[in-house]
Parts: sequence; C-alpha cells; structure tokens
Amino acid sequence: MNFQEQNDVERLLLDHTIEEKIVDFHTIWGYYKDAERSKEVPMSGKKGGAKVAIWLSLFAIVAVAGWFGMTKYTAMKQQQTLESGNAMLVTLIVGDVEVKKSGSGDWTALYVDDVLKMGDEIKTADESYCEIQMIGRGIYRLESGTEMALSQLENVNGAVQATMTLNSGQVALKPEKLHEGETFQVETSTAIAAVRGTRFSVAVNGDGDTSVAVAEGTVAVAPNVTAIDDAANRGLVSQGAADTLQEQLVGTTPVTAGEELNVMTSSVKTLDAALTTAIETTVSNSGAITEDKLTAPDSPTGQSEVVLAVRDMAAADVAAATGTTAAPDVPLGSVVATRRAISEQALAILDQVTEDKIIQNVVEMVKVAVNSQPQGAVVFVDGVRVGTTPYVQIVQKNSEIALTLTADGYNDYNQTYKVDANTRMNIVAVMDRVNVPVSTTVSVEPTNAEVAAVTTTVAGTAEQVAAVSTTTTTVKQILPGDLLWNKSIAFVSETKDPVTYRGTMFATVGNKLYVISPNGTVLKTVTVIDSGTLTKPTVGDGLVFVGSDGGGVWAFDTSGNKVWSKSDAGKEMMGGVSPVAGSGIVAVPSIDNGISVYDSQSGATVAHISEPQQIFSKPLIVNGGKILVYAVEQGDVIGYDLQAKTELWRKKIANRIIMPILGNDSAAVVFDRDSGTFYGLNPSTGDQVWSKVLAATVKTTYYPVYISGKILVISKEADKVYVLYAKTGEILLNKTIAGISSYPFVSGEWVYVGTSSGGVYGFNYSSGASWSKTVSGAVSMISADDNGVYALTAGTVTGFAR
Amino acid sequence: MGIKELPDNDLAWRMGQLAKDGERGSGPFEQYAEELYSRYAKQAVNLSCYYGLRIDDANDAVQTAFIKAFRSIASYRKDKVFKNWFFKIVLNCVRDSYNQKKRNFHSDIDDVEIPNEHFSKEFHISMSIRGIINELPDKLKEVLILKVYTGMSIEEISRATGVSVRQIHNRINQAYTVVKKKIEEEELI
Repeated sequence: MNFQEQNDVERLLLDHTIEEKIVDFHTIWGYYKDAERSKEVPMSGKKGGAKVAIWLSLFAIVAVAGWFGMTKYTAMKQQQTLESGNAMLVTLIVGDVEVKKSGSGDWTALYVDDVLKMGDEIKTADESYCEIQMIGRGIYRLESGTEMALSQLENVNGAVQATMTLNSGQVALKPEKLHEGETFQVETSTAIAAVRGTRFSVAVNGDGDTSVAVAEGTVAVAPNVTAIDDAANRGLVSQGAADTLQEQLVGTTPVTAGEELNVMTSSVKTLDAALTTAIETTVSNSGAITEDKLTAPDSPTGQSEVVLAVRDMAAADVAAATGTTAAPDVPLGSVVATRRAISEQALAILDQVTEDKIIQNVVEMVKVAVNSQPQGAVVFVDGVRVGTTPYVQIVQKNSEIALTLTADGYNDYNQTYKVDANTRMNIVAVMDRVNVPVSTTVSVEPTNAEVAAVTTTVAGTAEQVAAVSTTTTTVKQILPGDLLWNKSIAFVSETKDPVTYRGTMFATVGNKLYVISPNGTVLKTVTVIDSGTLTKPTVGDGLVFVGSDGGGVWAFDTSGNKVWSKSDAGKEMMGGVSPVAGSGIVAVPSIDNGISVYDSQSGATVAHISEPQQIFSKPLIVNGGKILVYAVEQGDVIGYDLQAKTELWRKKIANRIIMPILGNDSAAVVFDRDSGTFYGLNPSTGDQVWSKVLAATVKTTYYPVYISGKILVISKEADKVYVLYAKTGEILLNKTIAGISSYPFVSGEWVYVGTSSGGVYGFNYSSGASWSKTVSGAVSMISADDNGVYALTAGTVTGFAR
Repeated sequence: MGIKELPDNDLAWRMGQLAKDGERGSGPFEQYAEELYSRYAKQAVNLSCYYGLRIDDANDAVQTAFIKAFRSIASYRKDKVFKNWFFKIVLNCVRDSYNQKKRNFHSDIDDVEIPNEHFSKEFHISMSIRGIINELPDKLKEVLILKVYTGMSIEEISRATGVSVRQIHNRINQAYTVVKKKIEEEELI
C-alpha cells in the first residue's frame, strides 16, 4: 500500500469516527482527590491505648499477610512474563554492564536476576560481558563494548517475536528450536540476520560493518537497505510490489555452519543509492511499480521486465562503484557481502552459548554466588573461564558445576558442587597460599563463625597461619549483617576517601597510592611522587587516576601498575578535587592552569580548557564524553563542548563552589555548601531542572558522593545521611545517625555507613529494611561489593554479609 | 502566557513541581490538570473504544489513566513529549481493562444495547469500522489507533510503544491493508 492509499484509509477512518461522550473533569478530579486522601491514612479522634494497640496489631497482621501475598503475586506474575517470552532474564554479569529501561533516559547498573523487557537497552563496558536468557527459548551473550536494544520482545498469539538491534559490539546467540511463526533476529544498521534453531554471532564495528558467524545450522542475512521501503512510502512502489522487489532484487544470503559473512556499510550504501536511482528511472519511464507489473514472468529466471530493468540498472551502478558484477540469477544483496571461514575468535565466543545452558523454567533456576579469599581469583566453571570473584550466575537447579579458582601465589581451588538449593547458593572459597615457610606449630580456629569450616594444624607465624590454613568452606545460607570474617591488618587508616573498583580498593596517603583487597590486604604500595600530596584516587575506563598538588596526573591499572603519566596538568587544590575519568577521557582540574583533558587509555592530550579562575571542585563528564561540566570557585558553573572545544553555557549558581559536580546525563548536581542547596542542572543547556535545600548539610565537611544515579550526602555535624535521586532531587533516604565517622557507601539499594563508636549500619532505601552491627573502634572507611560490606577501623577490616 | 497557551510539557512540569512541593490538591494543580484533561480525554476515550472497550469501561480506563498520570506527575521530565508519556499510561490501562474484560466476558441480557432511532446508515458504517479495528491483532490495533485517533507521528508511536520505527511502518501498513480489505469485503462504502 503506498503513501496515498494509506492517507485515503486514514481519512476514511477519521470521517467515520464515533465521538463518544466523555465524563466531565470534575468527576475525575473527585476520584483523584479520594485517591490522594486514601494515601494520607487520617487518624481522626483520639483513641485509648488498648484500642490503638489492637488496631495496630490487626493492621500489622493484615500488612504482613498482604506483603507475603503481594510478594507471591509479584513472583508469579514475573514467572508468567518470563516464561511467555515477553521478558528476558539476566543470568550472568561480568564487569560493568548497564541498562537503560524503556522510557527512562538513564543508564543504571544491571544485575544478575534483573528482568529485561521490550524497549530496554543494554551496554557492556570494556572487559565486561553478560548473558541474558529467554526462559526455555534461547540464550544471548553480549561481548565487551556492546550496545544492544531489545527492539521487539513479545508473545504475539503464542509466537515469540524477538528482534535485537545491535548498535555496536558483538552478540552470540543460541535459540531453541522455534515454533511456527516465531522470529529470532538480530538487526544492525547494515544487515538483518534471521534464524531458526541455530547458533550464530553478529558483530558490528564502529563504521557499522557487520559480520555474521555461524556455528550450527543456517542463518539468512539480508543487507539492511531502505531504498525500496522509501520508494513505497513515496508512492513509487506499491506495498505488495515492494515485498516482491525486496525479495527478488535484494534477497537473503544463506550463511552455513563454519562460515562468516561480512556486510560493509559502504557497500550497502552503494546498493541503496543504486536501487533508488534505478527505481526512480523506471518509474519516470513507465509509471509506478505495482503488483500487476510484477506478475507476468518475462525471463527464464521468472522475473518480470520491470524487475529486470531495475536490477540491470542497479547492478551496473554497483559494478561501477565496487568492481563486483552480480551473476544474473543472484540477488544483488549477495554482492555487498563477502564470505570466509569462521574465525577462531567467533568460534570461541559461540562455544559459550550452548543449548544445555538454556534455563527451561523459572522455578528451576538457582542464583549461585561465588566469592573467594583472596578476592579477584579467576573463576572457571566446567573448565571455561567465566570471570573473577565475586562472581554470580543463574543456573538450572540440580545441575552440577565444576568450579576452579586460580590466583597468583595460591594453589588452585577445585570443587564440584551440585546446585540443589532452592533459590540461592553461596560459595565462599578460601584458597591456600603456595610454599609458605613455616617454623612453629599453632592451632588455627575458624575465622568465620557462621560458615562451617574444616581446619588443619599448620606451622608458621600467626600471620602466615592465617594465610596457610586450609579452610574448606561448605555452602550455607548467609543473612544480611552476618559476620563473614574479621582480620587484623597492617594498614594506615589515614586514607582520604578510598574508592572501590572492580573488587579492589584504592586509597592515597601523602605521596603514596595503596592498592588494597576488600579484606584489607595491601596488595601494592606505589610511591607516585617524591614529595607533595596526591589527590584522592578516581576510577574509570578500567584505570585508576591520581593528581597532585604539584601538578601532573598518573594512570594505573587495577593492579597498581603505571600505564602513563603527564606532567603538564596544573596543580590541584587539595580536598574535594581529583581528576575525573570516564567515556574514554580523563579531565584534570587545577588552580593555576584550567582543565587538562587527556585520552584515558593513552594519555594523549584531547583538549585544554583555559580558565583564569581557580577550580576547587571535581568536574563531571556527560553525554558520552562530549560535554564537561565544571565550576569555578567564584560560583559559576560552565558546560564545555569537548568536541567543538567551545563553552556551551555559563551560569552563576552560588557565591562559592568547592564541592564536586556530580550526576549523569540527566542532571549535573551542584552543591552550594554555604546554603545547603543542591541544584540539578540540564548538562546540555545549564537550565535548572530542580533544586533542594537540605539545611542540615550547611557547611558539611564531607563531600557528596555519586553512585549509580544517586547522590549521597552526609553531615557529620548534624548526624544526617541523605540519598538523593540525581535526576529529580527526590530524597530516597533521610536518616539520623549519631557520630558518623566514615564516608557512606551505596551499593544497589543499600546504603552503608560507619560511626565513631564502631556502629556499622545498612539501610535499604527501597524496602526500608535495615541492620546494624558493632565493631571495635571508630569506623574510618566502609565499602561493599556483591558479597560483603567491609568496615575499616584502625588496623582491622571486618567483613559482613550484605 | 495563559494556561491555554502553555505547551503540554510545561503544564505537566508545573504540576510536577507543585506535587514535589506538596501542593497536589491545590488550585493551580487542578487548573493545569483540567487543561490537560480537556486536551486529551476525548482522544483517550476514542482510543479505548476502538481498542474494544465499551463506552463505560473506556471512561473507567481513561479515568484510571488520568489519576495515575496526575499521581506520578512528579516523575515527568520536561524534556519528554507529554503526549508519548501520557498515552503510554493510557495504553497500559486500556490493555489491562481489555484483557480483564476479555477473560470475564459475558453479556447479560440487560447489557445488550437495543438499536434505537440513532441507528442510521452512518452509524452502521462507523460501528462496523470500529468492529473491524477491534478485531485486528493487538499489535496492529495499537499502532493504528495511536496513529489515527491520537494523531501521533510514527516516531512518537515508536517511543510510546518501544517498537522500532521500521516495525511501526510495517504494522501500520499491514493494519491499513487489512482494514481496507475488510471494508471492501463488507461493502461498507
């Protein structure tokens, strides 16, 4: 159906619209007011204490029963959604993987067990990957540097329609044998790969060139040309004719097992342009192309005169541009593709998506969490390297997993587990150190009272014994707040704002950078500069960066090895300032030389922003590294276009800004410490989106922190902890805690904070759940990862279960 | 600028600001709400009826959608197109209601509407067209209704439904083709 015909149908429908009577606004407004009032739960009149107690008890019973009912209901709904094919489940995450939910503008961290629906987008960072599954139907594995959208994911009358749009990177998939009418396809800007019960991968590079590799079965690949659709929309080709033209002119190219097909963007564009010209010429000669003109076969190939005319013209253009001539009986789509034997790299990735990995139904899946001491051990499941600890994966119930952990300086840990837990299984492996010299005999007690442990008698100093104890851990349910272990360490507790990144903590003291395992072991001490003071560390793009009060910037890998350094960055103000890294760049603010911006991986200079005023606050990188938002001490906030190298906007926000600019693409959050006001600005325009006054934060000495879309603010002076939603300024958590002594830490929906009297608190700002524990001495630092919460007091680190 | 001249997103954003300030039931909040209602209630009810709901159920679904929208207005972002945001809510409410009605469908004798003096030829054509649309597969029906009865563009429908622009093009084309064929078969025009 062409554009004009579509218009005619639309006009017909509009002409015969039945205008229904609608209820008046005041009726709706009345219901709205009722709904609002019911939220307030008024308590009219005074009641006696006993009556109140009875009412409260009844309310509590109903609420608890309701909660269980709702939980059960929600789980059932989720199960139905997953098993119907209207959603997918995240079963494995390694590294940094983010999701942008449909209708949301923000990227947030993706976790194992999360559910993805149509319209959601996923991206994996460098050295990261994830697996998502359509329960009972198929598995997708997204390699590092991949961005993919779930463009269509729905069960239409019992047939699942799944189309993934791959914007960059590589995805491997293995669908089960599909039912009649079901679709599994991957679309890129240059090709569409459609499949039935096979195993293949699709990769797209920065130019849009697409590569389809097949390990089993056959995949039909069509170049993603738009010329025929466009012509149909312009009325040059009828819709019925468009489908025929698409089939006969462009067609699909079969790719069989052991083959790899490459489709180049430039070739697809050439074909698109050639088809457009050929169709226009044919239409100007003999009128619009309709189904009638395509029905009578005029050639031995069964193609009509019109198709042959368009094909000859387009083929000539393509041959002139590419030097490749298409055989008469081959659709032109095959001309833009080149075929070769499947690469080793593609085969290795396809080995990871096998039928036995596909979870058959929701009630039979179990979440397996593996942690180790030391953390960061390389994990092999069934002989395949799957990541490093802490590691989480969802597997089929009653399956067996052969687990191997390896770490430098430790014996390999080998154990086979039967996954027979109902929903979750925790495995904590304590690994043996290799070749430790021993001299005395000491009996070792288990360090974790909550975990069943078997110990052997070994010889050595007390410190060595801790390392050589052969503690074999069995599986046990661990509850939030349970003690995992408690360990004395020889580590300086005067760290400035340590950061946790990829399972390792980084802290600076004076001129040194410390690399610390989450259980408190100092893995490496790096003397970065001979004299002077380092900024607090900052992390991003897989690296750790520090600046100094004498100028310069240093980049380290997560093991503490120097990657590069630059001496031309200006001097940094001590306190809230540090370099900021992400989206492939690192920006170093200074008090004497504006902002120097470098390529985070190579250290090459990307830009230099001349700013005569002093910068006391950490800037913010947004819009994929295109915009830098920074503030000068005198209170101006500036948006700078790093590509055009021009100032986008400059706004006077406060009299003095010394706190870091935090946030994301939705809002750059500026904190005026003198008035306790937080401003959410649109990073692209500088327009104020929201503002919030938190009087308790006036003159706070702690810097706000940004983690996963939230701004964490504490006031030691007013004993307050707040969590704000960066996008809207909404207060997610407001707690009063006496004697706060550590920076809080946010992980998922949990906020952790330590106090001077040894209190360690965990709050869930979504469910309202909380726990608290006490350690000996003031808590100077707190951090968390998937498996534990770690509190540092003078010389001791204590780990608690989350 | 008077309320009538304010663009949708400005009205919604102002309501959001009032909601955040605890002014959900205030006079200005009600005025903005009424203005948005006057702009979109009719389209929403039409959408519901063409989806397959009876007029009473359609008004109920639209009422639920407006109440949901007003209550969650604080989460509305000014840089979003209000119409996309709102019709996404409407579509969810209508789908829920439609699926529920479909499951519990029964027709009491008292519910059956008796044709009366309004039963004219035009009424017959219009009701028949509505019936044809009702019977389309859900995925075709949704895009057709959004395109014809809310005036949303292809790109806006894509954003509201989370389906790619190309797919929307294809679905609209399929839907129109089916509708045209059925109209011709039933010799309505």
